[in-house]
Amino acid sequence: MARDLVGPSDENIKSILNGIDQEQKDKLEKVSAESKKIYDKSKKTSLIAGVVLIGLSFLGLLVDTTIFIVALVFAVVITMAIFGAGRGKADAYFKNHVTDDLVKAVLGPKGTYQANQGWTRNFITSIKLFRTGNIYSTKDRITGEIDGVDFAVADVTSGEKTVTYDSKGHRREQTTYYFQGVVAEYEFNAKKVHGSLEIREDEGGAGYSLLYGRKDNVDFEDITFNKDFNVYTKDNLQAFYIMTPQFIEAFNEIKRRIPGHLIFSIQDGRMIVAINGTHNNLGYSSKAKDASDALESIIREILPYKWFVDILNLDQDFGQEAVREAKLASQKKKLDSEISKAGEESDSIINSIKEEL
Amino acid sequence: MDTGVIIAIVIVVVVLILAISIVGWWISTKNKFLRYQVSIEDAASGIDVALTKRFDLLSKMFDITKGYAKHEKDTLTEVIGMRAGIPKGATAKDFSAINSKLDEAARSINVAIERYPDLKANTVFLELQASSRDAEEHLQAARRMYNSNVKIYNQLLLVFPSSIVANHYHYTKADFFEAQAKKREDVKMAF
Repeated sequence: MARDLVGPSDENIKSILNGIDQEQKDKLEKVSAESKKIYDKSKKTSLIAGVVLIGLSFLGLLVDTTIFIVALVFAVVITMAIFGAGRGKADAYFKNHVTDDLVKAVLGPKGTYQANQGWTRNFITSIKLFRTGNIYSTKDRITGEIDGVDFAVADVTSGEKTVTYDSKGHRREQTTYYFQGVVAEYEFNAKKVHGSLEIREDEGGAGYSLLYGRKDNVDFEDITFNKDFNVYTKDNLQAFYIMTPQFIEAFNEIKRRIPGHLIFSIQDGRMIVAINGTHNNLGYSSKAKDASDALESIIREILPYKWFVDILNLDQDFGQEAVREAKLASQKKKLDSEISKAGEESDSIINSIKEEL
Repeated sequence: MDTGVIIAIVIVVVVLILAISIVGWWISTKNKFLRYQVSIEDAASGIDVALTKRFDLLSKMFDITKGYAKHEKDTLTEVIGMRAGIPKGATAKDFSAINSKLDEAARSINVAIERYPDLKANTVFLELQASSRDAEEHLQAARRMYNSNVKIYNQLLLVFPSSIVANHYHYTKADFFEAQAKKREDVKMAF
């Protein structure tokens, strides 16, 4: 069962909502209210259609019980389809008009949202964090920059559908889902990593080891962390270098606050975060009490991705920013002195020309 | 077959199984000790590398600060006096002592940075400072890995029945690499 992410404190939500200017807020609330109207309308239409169709199915009783049952099933399916289509319409309207603006409000002007985009299958296969099969879908891609850290996230579903035939020739379909959750990618330049380092919530079995070959699990000083997570690497010293006590505590905190099965991988200057068993809604929430509540629920979904940067200190650069600033200042100083020197030279040339004249 | 013979065979088989199990356990326990000894040596060499790197960086930083930091000259000169580096076969206690000296040197350099803000505009110095912070992280990682291995090794040494094997081969407790927490805190570079 998919669950929503619960992340940082609610205080941030209020401050983000306060940061949106009134005109924009009015527009978003208007769109949100419009989505609610579409949703309510679809609910009403499906209810009327349901009553009529189910009523008609009772006429089947006059002919035969079987016809009644078939007609009843048919009526329920059609009613659900009408309701689903209406709900999808409300969701799409909300996503097209609200979500991108809210992503920008949370992540800044570089934030983008594309409802029908996601991770390519090649990308998911290359990160080797979970299996990919003949079922693959992805959506709700968010990209942006959080405190100078490039970031992208999308929903991913991966699984395998197998068809078998028994001895009597009856077709049997079986679907196994390997992953139903979100996959996020963050720029990770705080420390250089050779190869990869994976931090996986304990799966209570040898599934992962069997899947990608045996790797060493490194134990650290923190008993809670060792119990909840397995760390796989080929370089134990590097594992201790990356997994500082503060970093380990951050993972314990993430485990306490984020539902779902957590997988982290640091590779090629990036950190991949895969959370199985959760998903982004990012659309219209029928549970929302009012338009403002609907906006809050979307912000609540986006904020955990920002929180990861804070808690994991992904924006730390070991003084490289100070080095860059000092270099810039020195270049500026050099440039200023050259400009002033050039000014003095041109003044002296002008003066000499004046004197000659 | 006679019952007595059967009982004798059973006893011989049981004794054989027991003997094989004990020999197997003995060998695997001894190998476990050896594996941890190798891991401790590996971690110690990691500390060695990290300390040498830190020493080199602090020496370079000293070269830049010596023009400024006349008051801290004594401590900084001591770092240069350590140019001979880390002695071969240094123990955890030696590492701790060398590290304490490096901490002192780093603190003196920090004092120089506070007193002479010009240093904050020196790009070479800032790059060295950033590398020094990274070297400090490497050193801490090596120290933690070393202590983690030492902890498990010492536990094996004391806990029955592995203590029987340890006593037989005269294995002795390994020293922890003690870091002076307060001093380490002081060394943190302010960016």
